[in-house]
Amino acid sequence: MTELSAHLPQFQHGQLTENFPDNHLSNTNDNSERRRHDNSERRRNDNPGSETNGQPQNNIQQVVEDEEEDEELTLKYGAKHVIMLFVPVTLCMVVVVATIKSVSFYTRKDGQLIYTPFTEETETIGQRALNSILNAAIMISVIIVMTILLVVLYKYRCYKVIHGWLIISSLLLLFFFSFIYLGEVFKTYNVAMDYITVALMIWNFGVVGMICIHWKGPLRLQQAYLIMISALMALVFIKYLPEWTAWLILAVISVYDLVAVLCPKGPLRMLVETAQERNETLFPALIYSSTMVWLVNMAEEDPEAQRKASKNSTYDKQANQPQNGDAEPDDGGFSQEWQQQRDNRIGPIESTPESRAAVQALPSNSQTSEDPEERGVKLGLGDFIFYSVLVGKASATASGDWNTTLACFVAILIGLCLTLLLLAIFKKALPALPISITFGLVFYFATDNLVQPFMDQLAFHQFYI
Amino acid sequence: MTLAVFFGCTFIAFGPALSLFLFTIARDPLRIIILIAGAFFWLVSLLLSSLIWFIAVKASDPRDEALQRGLLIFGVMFSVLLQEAFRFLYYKLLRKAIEGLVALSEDGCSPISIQQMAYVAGVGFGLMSGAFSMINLLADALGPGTVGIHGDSQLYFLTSAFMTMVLIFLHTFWGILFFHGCENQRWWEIAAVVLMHLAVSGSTFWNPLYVGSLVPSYLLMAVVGRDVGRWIPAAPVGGRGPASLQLVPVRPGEGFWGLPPGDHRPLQGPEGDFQAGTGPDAVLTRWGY
Repeated sequence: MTELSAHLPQFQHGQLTENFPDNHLSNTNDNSERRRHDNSERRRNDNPGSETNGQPQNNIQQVVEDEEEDEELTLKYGAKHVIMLFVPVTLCMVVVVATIKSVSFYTRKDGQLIYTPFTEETETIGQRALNSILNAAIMISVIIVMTILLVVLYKYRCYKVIHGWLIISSLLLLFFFSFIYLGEVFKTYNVAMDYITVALMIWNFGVVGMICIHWKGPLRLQQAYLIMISALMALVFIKYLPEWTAWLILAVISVYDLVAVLCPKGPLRMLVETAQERNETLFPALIYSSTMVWLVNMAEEDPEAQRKASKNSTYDKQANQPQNGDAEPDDGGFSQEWQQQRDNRIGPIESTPESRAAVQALPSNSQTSEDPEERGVKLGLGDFIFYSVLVGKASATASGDWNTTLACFVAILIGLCLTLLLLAIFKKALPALPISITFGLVFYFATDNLVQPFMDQLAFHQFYI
Repeated sequence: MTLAVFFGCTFIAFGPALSLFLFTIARDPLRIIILIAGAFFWLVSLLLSSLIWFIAVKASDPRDEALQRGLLIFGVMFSVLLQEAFRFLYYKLLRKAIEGLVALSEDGCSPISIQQMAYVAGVGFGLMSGAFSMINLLADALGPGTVGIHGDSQLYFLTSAFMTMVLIFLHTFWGILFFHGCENQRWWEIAAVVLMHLAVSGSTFWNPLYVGSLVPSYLLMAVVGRDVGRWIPAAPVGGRGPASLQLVPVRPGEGFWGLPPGDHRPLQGPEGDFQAGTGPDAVLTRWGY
């Protein structure tokens, strides 16, 4: 997998930060914030470090040219990027809907989460409404608290805590929840299975998943795993959230997403800005990315490594300063472990003026020759999860059934398309939930209550419109 | 029932549309987006017409069967008119989109022409319409049951599938015809589309007398298809492989699928003017006008 080491700086962090959506719910809500936040990191130029990498003199000019080119190119390439996101979102929804329709476990009421303590099996509608509002309020406050906690941790560079948290959540999701899922699928199809085989399967699935998501792996496999864990998480939400609470939570979360990403003091916006100041990416494995960016010319002695080395050495000097609160530059995520890994992989590289000059003398297009089409779009996993929750709930509980599911599906895709269009126009971090969830909710309620009776009558008389 | 009926009806209803999608639309991201947006517009029109029907039903006596049937017929007609209105709105949106695409492109030409957009929009409308008509039926076909056990027609699933197929094709043709009419201010084409749609929907009121609905619809489809087909200079059914169906950056007005290789007469200037320029005239010439 040596070619995969040719990541740009932000993807290197995939090695360090095991950002993984927790299946542990508090973390998930939190991670979902982070995800949405990361989702907001869908910038065209997602390599802020690229232009500043060793070629300061034509830096600015390049940036300007790229910007102008981007003006021209954004919408031209927009369609391709939209499809690059349509496909995984569709796949996730298909997995969730297929599971909901076949495995009855996920539609069975087996209690509720502790985050939604109020039951919805009440006598009056007013009581039910009140309970669901309270449930949604509790859930949203948990999410807000977790997000703020995350931002605080990130700001004060408690990376270890965050990494540990992410590792635990991904372990839980990849092993425990997929074990439950597998068990329920076997029960549904009445497949006899022994524990040894199951242990082997889950072990392999989980370990490969951990490696792919937190470290390195083939792009498609990583994307597949991200889709699978999003689907698993969405299924958990669909199972354990009662109906009205679920719809309320979806609505409130899209409002929160809007506020948190766009307001100047919103936690997610602060997170993004902090990450940009530090020239890092936010936990890449919490974000679905449609492409990996490669370096085109790998023929020479690993110019990527040399660049990393020169960058690293710059940071090394700074790391010798005494560590204090928050003002000093950190090791940029190039922690000791990472340096050891790099040394193990390509041998210790010293940064000398000669090597730096050699790197700077490299043709500058080694970075910008990345085909603009290769610039990927990123979407946070929280968006996947909530889209799938909406469609899954629609297919589970709607009386219009497949019509409602289809309508919500189309509505979400159109919302995503519009969001990406706005992204292409405004070129800054945007929340992906509001438009899609709004369309989805509107279409769910409208189709379920208005269209379904109409189509029912039409089908009864076999009229066609 | 069950799997045989399910697969049979699915492929009858959606087979041609699916192949149209796979061979002509799936490769180009822009077309996929236009398809989904078309589906969305159809959906919105359905929503609004259901709203009107719902209000009418709630305001009326639910026990009066004739009234309910009358309201349903009114709902169907209103829905047809609303669908065509939304088709017009979608046309307007796509025209704006083409101007945007032209502005953003490198050589002043849109990567997709209005005729291709018309085709894709038609398929979008048709697919969504067919899906909404058919999907619940297909889901029920998977389960156990006997068709027409209470004395209704036993051909229910089959005729539904055929009706869906013909509607999908008709929507495609209507899309092309409608956009062509809007492009060239030929209002009679637009009126023809609306009338045809009303006629086809109206013919379904004869159901379960299927000869009254299916036969006229298929005849209509054949007639319209033949007329629309004369537009297409290099028909892909003529034996040329999928290579001819790839998206060729088409200069507006070059024709539906793009010119065959080697034939690069520039049909209009770099500004990509769609109005009464050489583009539509070239098409009209082919059509003998």
